[in-house]
Amino acid sequence: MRLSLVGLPAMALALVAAPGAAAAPAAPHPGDPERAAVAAPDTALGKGWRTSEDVMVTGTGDSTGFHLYVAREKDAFAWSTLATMHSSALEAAAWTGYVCVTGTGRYAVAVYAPTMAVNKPGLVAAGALAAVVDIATGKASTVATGVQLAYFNPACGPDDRVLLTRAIGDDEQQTDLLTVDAAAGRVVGVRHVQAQLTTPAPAPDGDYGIADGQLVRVSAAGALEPVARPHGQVFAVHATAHSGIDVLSGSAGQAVAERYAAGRLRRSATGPLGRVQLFGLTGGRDVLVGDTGQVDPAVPELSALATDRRAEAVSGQAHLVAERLVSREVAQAAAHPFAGVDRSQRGLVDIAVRATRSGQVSTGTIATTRAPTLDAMAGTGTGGHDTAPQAAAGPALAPQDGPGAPTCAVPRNDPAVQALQPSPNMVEWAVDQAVHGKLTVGRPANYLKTGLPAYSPQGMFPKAKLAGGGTVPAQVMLGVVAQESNLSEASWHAVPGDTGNPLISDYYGNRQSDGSTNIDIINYPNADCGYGIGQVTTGMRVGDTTYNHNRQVAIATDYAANIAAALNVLIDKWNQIATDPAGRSWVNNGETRYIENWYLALWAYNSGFHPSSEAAQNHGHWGVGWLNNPANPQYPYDRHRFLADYDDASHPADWSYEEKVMGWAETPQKKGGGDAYAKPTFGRAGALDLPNIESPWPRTFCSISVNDCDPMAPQNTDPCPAESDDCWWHGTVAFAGCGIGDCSTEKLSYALGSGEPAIQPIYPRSCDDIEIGRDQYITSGVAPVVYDLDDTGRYALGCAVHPSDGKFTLRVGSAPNGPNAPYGQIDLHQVGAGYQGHMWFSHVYPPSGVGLGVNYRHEVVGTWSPDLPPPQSENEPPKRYDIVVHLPSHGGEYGSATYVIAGDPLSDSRDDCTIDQSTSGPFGNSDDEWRYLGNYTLKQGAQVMLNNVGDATENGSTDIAFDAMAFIPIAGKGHKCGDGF
Amino acid sequence: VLVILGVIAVSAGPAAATGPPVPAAKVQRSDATVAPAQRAHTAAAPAQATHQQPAVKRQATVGCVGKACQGKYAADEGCRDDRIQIGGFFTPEGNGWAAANFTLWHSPACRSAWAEYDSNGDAFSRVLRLQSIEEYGVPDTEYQVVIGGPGNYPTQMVAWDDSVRMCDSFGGPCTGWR
Repeated sequence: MRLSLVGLPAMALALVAAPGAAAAPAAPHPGDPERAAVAAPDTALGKGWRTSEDVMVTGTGDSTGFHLYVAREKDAFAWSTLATMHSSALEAAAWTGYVCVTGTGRYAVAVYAPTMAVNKPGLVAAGALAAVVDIATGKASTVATGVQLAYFNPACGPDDRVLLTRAIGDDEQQTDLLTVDAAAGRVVGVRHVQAQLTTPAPAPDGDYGIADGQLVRVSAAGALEPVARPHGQVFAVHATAHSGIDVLSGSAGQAVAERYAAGRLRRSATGPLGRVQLFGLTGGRDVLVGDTGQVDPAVPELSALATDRRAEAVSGQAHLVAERLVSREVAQAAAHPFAGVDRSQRGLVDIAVRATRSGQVSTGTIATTRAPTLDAMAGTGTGGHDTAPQAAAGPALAPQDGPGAPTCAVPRNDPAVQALQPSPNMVEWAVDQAVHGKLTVGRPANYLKTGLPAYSPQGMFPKAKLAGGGTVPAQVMLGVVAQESNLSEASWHAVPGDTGNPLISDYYGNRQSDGSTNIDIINYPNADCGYGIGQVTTGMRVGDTTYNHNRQVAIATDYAANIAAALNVLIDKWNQIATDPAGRSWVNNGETRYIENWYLALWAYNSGFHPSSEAAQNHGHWGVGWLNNPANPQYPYDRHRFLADYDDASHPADWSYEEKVMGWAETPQKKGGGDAYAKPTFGRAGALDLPNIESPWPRTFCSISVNDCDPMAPQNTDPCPAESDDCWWHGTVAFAGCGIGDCSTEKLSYALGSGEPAIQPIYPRSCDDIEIGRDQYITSGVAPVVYDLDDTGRYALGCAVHPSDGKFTLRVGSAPNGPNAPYGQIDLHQVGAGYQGHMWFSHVYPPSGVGLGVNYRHEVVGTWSPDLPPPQSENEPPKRYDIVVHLPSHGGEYGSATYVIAGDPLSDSRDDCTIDQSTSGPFGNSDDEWRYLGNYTLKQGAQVMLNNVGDATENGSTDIAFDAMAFIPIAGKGHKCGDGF
Repeated sequence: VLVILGVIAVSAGPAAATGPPVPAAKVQRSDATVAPAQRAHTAAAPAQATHQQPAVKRQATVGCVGKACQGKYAADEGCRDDRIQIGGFFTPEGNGWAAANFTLWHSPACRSAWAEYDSNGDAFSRVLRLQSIEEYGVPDTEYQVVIGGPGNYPTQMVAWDDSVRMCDSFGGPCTGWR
């Protein structure tokens, strides 16, 4: 069944008005008030709904993973969470993916990846994970890693066979076609196809797909046999159980559905391009959804559903169409893209469904609940065999005993490397200044406690000269940082106003040399090492001498320095293209001041520019590559302009990189009720004058003389069938009237030379001490505090911090000094929250096995060891203390955090105190607070411990914080565990 | 294999108390080899009780603090004077080894920790191990002392900011992490 496109955006989304908003809010089904059942089901679904076997499966991603949801008609299509998939080996702000359901209706197959993967050509080609989910039980199994992230992957057939693709080569000129037996939960064959194969379709008589614009049959050996040439450029193919293959293509603004049977294609329906979709149904039937008009009734196993909105998913018997599926977390990200996650909204998903019998639209909200969870990192789940990765297209790789040393130049979890997460006003200011060479704000020595000498961003990284003069339009650079990092310099876990680990792409090097990703290992030599807001990779590996250590640390920690460096990378791409000895390439009138003219430089920013000097090694070809050519069938032909609907950002792999950046330049991210940054000064069109409007789109960058890509060839042909360096493009093309006022220019929000705006923190920042007056027993000065950094000189947010009154240690992995320790670092984070602006946090995991009480890979143990005064005499009894723990405003939410108190280091006796770390109010944001762990007798050498191993229901999604702890000597009755401070 | 630098100091039987320490060799822990070294130790009767009273006076002046104590000996740096026992165990005679005390010490003044072995009997091939993990996780270090005969055998010191524990040989008991 074809496909629901679901997932959280690479960046913030806007929640559009719920379709069907005109309809009355759905009354919940009496039996399922929390599951958004269809209202008045007897009317909406028909009398037989209680005995129906119809099922809908769809999904969406959020920060905790990619979730599948199921709704059964016998439950009035009440929703429940079917399965959750993620990989704790990968640090991801959000997950995106695609889903299909097999023709038997028994299995769902998901291809999913961190949304940031769409910015890495190698990950788009072969960096996603694939899992099979049993719809009856929710049991999920990884079937393949390193598969393509594309709108046609996975492809389910009329039975339980499923095809997956893996694009091979820089120009995707070859394809691995993986055959999955969903019932067996494994890959049963891999064929290597010597062509770019898109929209594959398993059929009863073999496997089909599109290559060179033609419908082809794939032999057992991977050879392609052309069988028919569809009307236009194909964007959907699905086989029926008995009657042939349906093909949906487009040409000249029209979508054409055709049925391939008996060796020929026959037209079955037509409709406006972008308004017709093809889905598979249970039992091997197909359905056309949208504005289909009359469907040829003589075509068997094909029906039509008229809708006025594009569908996310269709139920197996087409009794229900899902028109909208939006995570509340996504919605919040739209309204407050830089805010912390509102825990009260986490896991809520707003839906709108249409009952096809009555046309009734129901809207509601479902809660993502605990479901079978697949952690695609070996050994990190509940220990069940069903959750372990299985070999797919190669032998399984065992976790290494030790992965060696990191290869990215600036480390994670180092208190001397804390990046500041800027607020969007700061980013816009910095970009406005940088593009004009005015980003010279002075950074004092030891800025952010990094130990660096004083510098200024563009003193350290002077703006490079732009060939042809002029400057980079600010909105181009803002679009780059929006797409690359969601305007984030620090890790996803830090919100504006926090410090945190730098945002580092693939720090642990899971990507393999062929572009595939194996999440079973840490492979530091393969790390990407993209740092910060501009995801700067140049010069950021150990041993790279492009930048010295100070510059590397500045790129990793200071958003302004990173913008200065990233800007030069973009300028370098422009200059490469503009000054190639074989001739300048440009679009429109080539002037740097027009945003539209940066199309090629953005293309190259992502996938590089092949200079003419290397043409001899590339069969005489040079220019920008094929991956990001809009004509590449990697992207659906019926796509509209990126961000014409904010929901587009939930499936960003449907657009080329430059299309995405232009989208963000034209349609800013949202901040509260307004835009996060200024829109451009538009030309006469009132929008960017982009090529995706008029013919020959998407073949704007096709030239017979340059890249064997014929812009005028019929749409039912592949414009560049070689799918190789033959398809590289250089030259000139005009798609916008920049010389006649059609193009757009930058709009600055901040005057050049203006000062850095104040940060707009999400959470209030306090430097209040726990001092006299805060507690009856704090009779003078400040209470003894064991900070979570032993070197309190590393607190980077400006509080004057006292020396620590003890030590705090972290041990990761179990045994902590064993080979699993590096894995334990993966889900350990430092954030500038908590007491005086620093704390550590991780997530709560289940035990690795029954009765073990440990999680070999993810265990994190924090230990607070106070420096207690020695007794004044040998007979002096030990003192009693109130122990008070600091809970951060965000980053701690575990309801059963058990602190173990060892008051006598020479005794095995232990006390414990379990508290809820949550400090959230009803609307999410909250304040820091202290809470008593109780009063205890403590001797020198006493310690308090906390770990992140919970019960078997935990799945690594609940935050647990390790913050400061105070030890207050008491003279009388102390406080009890859990008392408020 | 995770490459971990460790340091081995070996006491090869009773030696003159005045002999200076020989610089120990750094090795990968997994490839630990015995490097002869001389370290002052004194003959001591094994105490049955492993719990010792803490010193009541803080040392006024010490030779090193924290990371600067790494690899040095407590006795040389004045770190024993305010020592606190933070772990230990007694092992009775058995397996060819004499009864012995294993003690884990902490000096607040030196912000360091070390381990000591005490026995008046033979224990050939017995190893006193002091393991530490850097304060926020990997990497780690281990000091080993091969017991050569009766007496007191101290390890070198590690910084107190690190996690630290002590073990008896390989597969023997360990203290908890401190």
